[in-house]
Amino acid sequence: MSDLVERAQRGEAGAFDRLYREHVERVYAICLRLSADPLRAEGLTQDVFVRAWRRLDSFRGESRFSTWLHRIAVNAFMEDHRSMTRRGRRIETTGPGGLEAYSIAIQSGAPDTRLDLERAIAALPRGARTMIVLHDVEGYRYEEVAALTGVALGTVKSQIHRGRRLLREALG
Amino acid sequence: MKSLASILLVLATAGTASAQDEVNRRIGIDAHAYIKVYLLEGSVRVVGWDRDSLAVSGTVATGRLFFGGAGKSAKLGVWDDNLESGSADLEVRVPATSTIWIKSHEADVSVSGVTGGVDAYSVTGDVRVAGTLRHLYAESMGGAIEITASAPSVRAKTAGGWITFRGSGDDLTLSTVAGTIDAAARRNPLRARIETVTGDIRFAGGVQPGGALAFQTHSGAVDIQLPGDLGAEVAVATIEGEIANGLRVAAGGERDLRGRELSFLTGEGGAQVTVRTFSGDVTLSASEIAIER
Amino acid sequence: MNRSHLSEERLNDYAEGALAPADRQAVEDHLAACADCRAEAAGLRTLLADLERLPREVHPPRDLLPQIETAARRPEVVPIDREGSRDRAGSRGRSLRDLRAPLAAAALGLVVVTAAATFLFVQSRGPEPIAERAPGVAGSPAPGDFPAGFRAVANEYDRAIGELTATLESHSADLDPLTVRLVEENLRIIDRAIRESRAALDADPGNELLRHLVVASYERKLDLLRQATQPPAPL
Repeated sequence: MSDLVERAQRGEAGAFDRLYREHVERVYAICLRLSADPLRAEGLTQDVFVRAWRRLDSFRGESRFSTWLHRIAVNAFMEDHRSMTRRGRRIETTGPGGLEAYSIAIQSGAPDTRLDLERAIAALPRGARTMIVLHDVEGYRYEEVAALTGVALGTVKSQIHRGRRLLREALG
Repeated sequence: MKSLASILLVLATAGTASAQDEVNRRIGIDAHAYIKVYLLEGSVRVVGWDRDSLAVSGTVATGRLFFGGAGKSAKLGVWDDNLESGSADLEVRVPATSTIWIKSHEADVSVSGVTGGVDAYSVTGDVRVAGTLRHLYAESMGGAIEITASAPSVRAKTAGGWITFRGSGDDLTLSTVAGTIDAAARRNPLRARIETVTGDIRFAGGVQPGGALAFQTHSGAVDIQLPGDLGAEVAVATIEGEIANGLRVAAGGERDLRGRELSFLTGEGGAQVTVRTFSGDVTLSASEIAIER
Repeated sequence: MNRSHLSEERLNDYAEGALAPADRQAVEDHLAACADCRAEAAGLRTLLADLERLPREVHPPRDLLPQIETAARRPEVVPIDREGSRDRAGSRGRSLRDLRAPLAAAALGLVVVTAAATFLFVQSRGPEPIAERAPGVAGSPAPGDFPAGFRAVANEYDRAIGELTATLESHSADLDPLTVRLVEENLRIIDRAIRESRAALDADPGNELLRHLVVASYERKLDLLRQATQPPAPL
């Protein structure tokens, strides 16, 4: 297990801050792409680190710390989505400010990314976008995606296929 | 703007610090680099240029400048945690598409010609940012913040200093304690939050359909000019202040019995304008100047 | 001549390299004779390669650490819509106080109260902007929606702020004098505002505008103190 994680678990001053600085960009990336909404992504990112802080003792080094954080991020996103649906919030494709705000956020945060592709992903319907981001961008296996999202394996695959088709159409 | 304390500090260390040295350094760097600048005292002017290099020139206390980096990341400046090193006056040239992060204690900071993001923090130094940026965050305790820039998201916070904003942004947050906020939006924001405790607020601009402008102060005077044809739901509430309304009332116009609340529609459009004060007077007027949509 | 093309599913599986050798061979035999499917397969492979190459790191627009530390100290009263996912507070042997100097830790303790109180008020979380409506406008929360314990909340603010101010004074030798002077000046200004609005609220306890104003001033005060206690960023 990483020395820094151990030191944070022991409560060493500054260690958690360093962990944040080391991992925040990975966490923000996945939160931003899943939500397609920079403001929500900030809230989710904070949520992830708060949870990580609270559960830090339960991390035993069975995976890489970044992997552990990553799963927390995906779970946080899924929970947030479910709670938004329960509250009757209309799930938009992208957040306020729409695609423009998203484009700006992703481009300033990752200047050498392919903006047309990022925009096309953000413009996908939410279900397809979630699957594409988890599987095609982040590399989770189909079974993992199904487990994380609670969606049946067959549906995961068909949403991904549909998403890829929509992306290719959008990119021309 | 040097306080007596800081002048004494400089004099006190003059014996130990060496004379000011000329500086002229340059390194190659990525066009989209992330550049951190630190300065305790003096001034720093960051200017974007179209070269993939980072250059610093000016005068600095001998041996105190650190300067280095490669690829996507670079750092430079004069700093120590005991706040004791000497001052510097620097001009820093950065790739126009880089992102800048600046921390100043008393040094005045200015940034222009940079299109990446800017984060600037100072204690008493003034912060000035100009240009078109991807995002802008400026924070000072005692210094003033002057923004003549456009960015989708603009956040400026100071306590004692003024904030002057001439620019545009979809999402504006401007906040002071005692300083005046003087904002003129060249293009309508989607969302703006403008707050002081005792500072006055002057705002001229519109708001996008479905957007919201929110003004809040304890005792500052609030002077808002909106486009005459803006369709919005306007709600003003104050405990002890006076409300003067020069906007056209299309519907509504309820006042409570104490005469200190006013809410009405100026037309269709679904935007909201909210003003809350404790004792600050509120003046609403229609601006004659056409605002760029 | 082909009378039929490969299914979308087949093409996708092929492009991902997820087919068993026998199936893969069958697909390749088809592709050899079918330009359309070849184009599809190539297009899919390119897309998948592009997706895989997207940057996995995106720099957030600002430093989120202060708010993370605030939220990490949030008390057990979690937002109503997350009852199912209550987290237990940090476990033994480690506390956020260890992360920073006592001064900042006290500030964090303070901000907890703010976060909880603000939450009770405006039912929002994180940095999302609050849809602001002044009293009197249709749709604003009715007085009954505000918890009866507002006075208790305000007293909590005062108590916690009192603690922090005392700590600030006792640590003023460690802090830079310029900062301390500025903080004190501005605190005086904010305190006057808090006193005025609280006095008015005491006389008119149901006034929603006053509650908003009081909370706003407290928030500003805590924000100022947080600004003052930020340790210098690592070089």
